[in-house]
Amino acid sequence: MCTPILNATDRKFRRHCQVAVGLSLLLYVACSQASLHLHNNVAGLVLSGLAGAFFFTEILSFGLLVTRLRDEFQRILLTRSFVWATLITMCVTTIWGFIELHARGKVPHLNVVWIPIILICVTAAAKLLIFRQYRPESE
Amino acid sequence: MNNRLRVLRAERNWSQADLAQRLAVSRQSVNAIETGKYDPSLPLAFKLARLFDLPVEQIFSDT
Repeated sequence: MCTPILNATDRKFRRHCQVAVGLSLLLYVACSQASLHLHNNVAGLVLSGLAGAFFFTEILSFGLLVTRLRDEFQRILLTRSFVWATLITMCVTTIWGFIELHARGKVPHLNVVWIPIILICVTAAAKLLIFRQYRPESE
Repeated sequence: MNNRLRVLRAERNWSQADLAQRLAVSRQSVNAIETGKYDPSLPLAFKLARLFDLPVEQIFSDT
């Protein structure tokens, strides 16, 4: 009668996705930071391309992790966290871009390499807040 | 939407964790359904109906 929330295959897939999410984040940070120090250089261009590919892998792994979740409520909460995080990141970076445009050097420049990191941090914060909102009370 | 999940669960002496395990969902999901914060999908509603051996409309009502 009782069925486990995750069977062995699900657990394995979930673990692989979590490793891919963590690893691609680390590689994204490493490649993007290294590319900042290699201006006008083929190696810098290659590292920028790799950083973009690792960010794509990050989003893909997160998407696969969410779509394969069997618990529909958890899936909805995770999707909601990501949607809120995307909206907030888009709004903040766009507004900051306009401020930079009009302030002409009076505000610090927000480099594009920080935008995916901001998105990931805001997603983590949104997940924490949304999951806390639906934390079950003790029985 | 209202539901009788808490009553039906209490009749069987099941904890939220027991029900969650039987439905293969998290306790957070069971709690959200019971407190009316979340309306389950049709497949989950039918799974609940099968588990309690009742028609869906005897568990959930829109009044």
